[in-house]
Amino acid sequence: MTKTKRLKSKVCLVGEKAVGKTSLIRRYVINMFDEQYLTTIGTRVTKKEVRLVMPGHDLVVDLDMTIWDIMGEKGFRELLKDAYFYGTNGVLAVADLTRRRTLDDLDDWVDGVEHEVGKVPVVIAVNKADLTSGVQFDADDVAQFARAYNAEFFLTSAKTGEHVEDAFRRLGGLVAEHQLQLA
Amino acid sequence: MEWSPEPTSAPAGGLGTGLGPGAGEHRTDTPMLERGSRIRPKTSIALFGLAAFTFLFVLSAARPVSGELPYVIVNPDASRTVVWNLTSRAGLSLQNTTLVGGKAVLPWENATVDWPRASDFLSHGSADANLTTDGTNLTLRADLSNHVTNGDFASNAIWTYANGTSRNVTASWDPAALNALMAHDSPAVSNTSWDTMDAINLTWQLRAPPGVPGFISQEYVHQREGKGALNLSFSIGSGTGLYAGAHPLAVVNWSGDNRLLAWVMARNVTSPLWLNVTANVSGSSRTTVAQSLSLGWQEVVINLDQIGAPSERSNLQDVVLRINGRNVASTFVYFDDLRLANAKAFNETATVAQAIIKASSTSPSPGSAILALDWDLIDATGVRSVTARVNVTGSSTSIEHSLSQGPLGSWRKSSFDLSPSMSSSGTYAIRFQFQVAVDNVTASSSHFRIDNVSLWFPNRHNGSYASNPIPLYASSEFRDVNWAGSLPAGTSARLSLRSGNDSNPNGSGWSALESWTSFGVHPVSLPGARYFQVRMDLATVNASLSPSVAAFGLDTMHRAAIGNVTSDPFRAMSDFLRWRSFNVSSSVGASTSIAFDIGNGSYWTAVPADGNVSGFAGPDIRWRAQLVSSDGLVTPSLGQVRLTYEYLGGVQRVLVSPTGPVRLESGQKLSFRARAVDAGNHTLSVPSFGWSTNNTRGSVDNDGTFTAGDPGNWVVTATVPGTFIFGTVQVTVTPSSFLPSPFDLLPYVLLALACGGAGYGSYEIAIRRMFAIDDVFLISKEGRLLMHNTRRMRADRDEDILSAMFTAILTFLRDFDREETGDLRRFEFGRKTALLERGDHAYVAAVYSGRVPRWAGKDLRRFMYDLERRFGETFARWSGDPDDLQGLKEFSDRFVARFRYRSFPRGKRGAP
Repeated sequence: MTKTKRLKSKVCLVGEKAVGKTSLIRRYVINMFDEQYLTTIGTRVTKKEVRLVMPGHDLVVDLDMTIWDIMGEKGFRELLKDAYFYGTNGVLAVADLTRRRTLDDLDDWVDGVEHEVGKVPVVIAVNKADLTSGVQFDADDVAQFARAYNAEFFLTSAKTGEHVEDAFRRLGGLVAEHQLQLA
Repeated sequence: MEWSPEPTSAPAGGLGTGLGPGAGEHRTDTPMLERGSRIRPKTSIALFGLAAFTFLFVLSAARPVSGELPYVIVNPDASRTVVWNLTSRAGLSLQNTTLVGGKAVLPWENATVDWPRASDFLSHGSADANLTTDGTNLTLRADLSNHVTNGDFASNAIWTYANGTSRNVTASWDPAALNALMAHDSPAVSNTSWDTMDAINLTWQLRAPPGVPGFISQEYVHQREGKGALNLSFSIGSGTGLYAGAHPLAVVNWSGDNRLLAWVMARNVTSPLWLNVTANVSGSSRTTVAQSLSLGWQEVVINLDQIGAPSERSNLQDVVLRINGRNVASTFVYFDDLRLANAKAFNETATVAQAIIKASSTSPSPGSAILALDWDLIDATGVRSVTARVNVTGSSTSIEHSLSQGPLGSWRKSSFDLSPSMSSSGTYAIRFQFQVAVDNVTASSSHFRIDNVSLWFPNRHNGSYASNPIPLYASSEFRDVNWAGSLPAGTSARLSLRSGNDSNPNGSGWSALESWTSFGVHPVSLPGARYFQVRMDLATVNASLSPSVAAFGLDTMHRAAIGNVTSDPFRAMSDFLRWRSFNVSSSVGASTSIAFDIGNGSYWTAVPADGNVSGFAGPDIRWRAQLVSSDGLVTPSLGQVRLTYEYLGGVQRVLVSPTGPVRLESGQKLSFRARAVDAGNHTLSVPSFGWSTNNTRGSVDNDGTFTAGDPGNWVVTATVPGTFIFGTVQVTVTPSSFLPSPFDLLPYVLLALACGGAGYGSYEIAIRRMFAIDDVFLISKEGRLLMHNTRRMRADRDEDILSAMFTAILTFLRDFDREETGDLRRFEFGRKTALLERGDHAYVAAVYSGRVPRWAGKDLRRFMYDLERRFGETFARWSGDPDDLQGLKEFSDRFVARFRYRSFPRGKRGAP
């Protein structure tokens, strides 16, 4: 008989300014603190409870996923990385399909996380997939980047909701798998 | 069956599902303090000055970018949708279908139209009169009739055979060999001995210029014939014009003969030697042409006419047989058996001829008139030269070609293009001439034969072939055309194709022609169609030559006519109730269709796309799609199949009936019924409901019977025991004529107000003198909430978010100014005080109301110390599973529930 287990996890969103991290969260879970206040400390925290079926473990996992969203300026990353990345169980790395630089700079963010906590599951969300003009890179570029981090990637649109839940759910699944292995 | 990595799931209950409850239905998640707790709402987790949380979750069923089939979406109405995205073969069986771009389609099938023989062209179309086929090739038609009569010399007819003027060369028909023979045969001429060289001592002497030493002597051993020979011994230096010679002492008379035949033996020709004869004719020095000597004996014929006319040779002085050379080491030459003769000499021609009447004119272009024959120069011995020629003479033209010589004794073929010379009609004479020249004294012969003489005027013209419209197996795309043949110089061939959907070649809808002029394989860019048509245009600028086309092939491809996609069996989860719907994402255009079946593995039943499948029983199901196309150019496509089934979920709502508003008079009774349902309105079995009402002086029994009390608007509530899930119905109670008026109750109301006021005053005084621990948060260093203990019934904020934000804020303060706030232990806000205590792996935040005594901080430190002692290792290794923290809540009760916290004795590790 399938058992149910509850897990608490911490996942971080990383990526350059204005790639749509907050919009992705807003699309995924409308459950946020007052943004003005949180901007003061450069961090937003939301939470999503996800039910995951883990056939390999004969488990149903209720994952309480606190989602930490840091402001995109690198200064904040340097200032807050201890608290922000400390103990994180997974990373959603976000890039902007219309700005190549946001993909190129993503390795700094992911490396920053792995420097703090070691290898954790990483899912890449290439946002603004709804924009048909101004695209500066394609899926092959993302795949090449993703292979370097053994990561999966999704083309997302916070505007239309395309693959937003998929990206978060996939990250949740990987995080749960990772945490179950640690247990 | 394969599962997706994780089925999509709606969020679990406590945080809401994003579905608004219906009228009269409420989720009971109100904290206890809102139900009369002594702690007022404004004292809750407002410590960070945050606004109220809004917990709305968006449910969406987005399609994964990648994944395996099928995956399951949990819908908000207690149903699940099983989704097969046809992006991979996983979980599917494909029969004559293929997956392209995430869709199942009918595959392309290749076909070839193959015409390997020229006869295939004619069986599929027609050619104009200028084209023909030899069964293998399609070529330009030629006039191959031979305008030479009896060209094979099967008889003696028509040809005229003319001998040479002196009959030294003859022409005749050879009845045995059946060909024409032109020949010369003559024996050697007779001669007379002039000097045997058997005794030379008194008749010959040495003749050499100064500086050339030598002598002559009689040779008796190595003579050619007779008793002896003349031995001329000498050496010649490096000067020019030097020689050694033998001179007959007597005057010579060679007037009766024109040839001197001498046998000469050269002993050494390492330095070349030449022989000539010189003489003095009436004071004039004469010489014959010097002839090169070879090693050994040889007969040298000397043309005496080169010395002078016969009359001049009657009294020749100073005749010398000279051996000429340069840098000749000491050597010798023998002369023997000198003879005189008269050479035979002639130059005659024999002819084989025939007159040709050309009825019509032809093109002067090359290849328009071809004369051909076989000939054989059998031998040519002792002749000076032989020449064979072909001469064609007309009324205004004459042309002659020589037959080039080659190896003797083999038949050869020659042909001559006489197009410009024979373009006009009229009479032509064809002559084969064999000329033999002889000037020698030896036997001579030469034989020349001709046979198979032909003269033809091919008269080829450009021609075309057109096929009928060729039907294909189905409407098809065209891939490659492959054609083969040969193109002699001056010829060309063009293949043209067009496509269309009309069996009538003159109908509409045929494409423009696409053409190729070189053989081989070429890609075809014609639009896909049901028919194609072939056109061949053969041309030549040489009427004797033709392009030839040997084969034609056309590669096409069309969609398969039918194919199937069948899913693996899928079993719904154990809470399965019934199947609801079958939906597909597909594209079905003209001439295509998709038929669907569902079954459980033992049978199939047809189901329409986007149809109701509630009649299908059992949790096991599979589906089958049959893709059909009657047009080879198009295919239906199937991108996604979705099967939705309903399941029995947890209690979501309580429905009370009759629904409100209900009007009753005070004292009246009404029986309500309650029904618990899940999110899909499936009725759940609930043993009983807890009934309540806020109607003062009203009541409701355990069986739902409501007795109306005081007038007003009230609610009757049915609650699922042990949960906060309830349903309500609004009840409006109107006064009963049997109840006292409000004025009768006034004394009781005043008394109640007085008691309430006194109680409230006492409460205010007590609250100012007391303190209480409202909340205790135990938070891991990374911000995950380990435990939350509160005196309230339940939290009214999300403790996980609070914990994370609390951690973020504290860390921000620490990073912002490490010296001032790095050890923050206490802060106050409103009427609340928060104390902080950090451990090795976690920290605890306790929120107090009221005046916090000084020893509270010490208690908190001891509590944190005991927590680390008891659970420190667990905290360090915590995977996020609350089950790993068994006993933590009970442990914290000692801190929350007691007035003072008492630490555990050492050694007991804080066991509660």
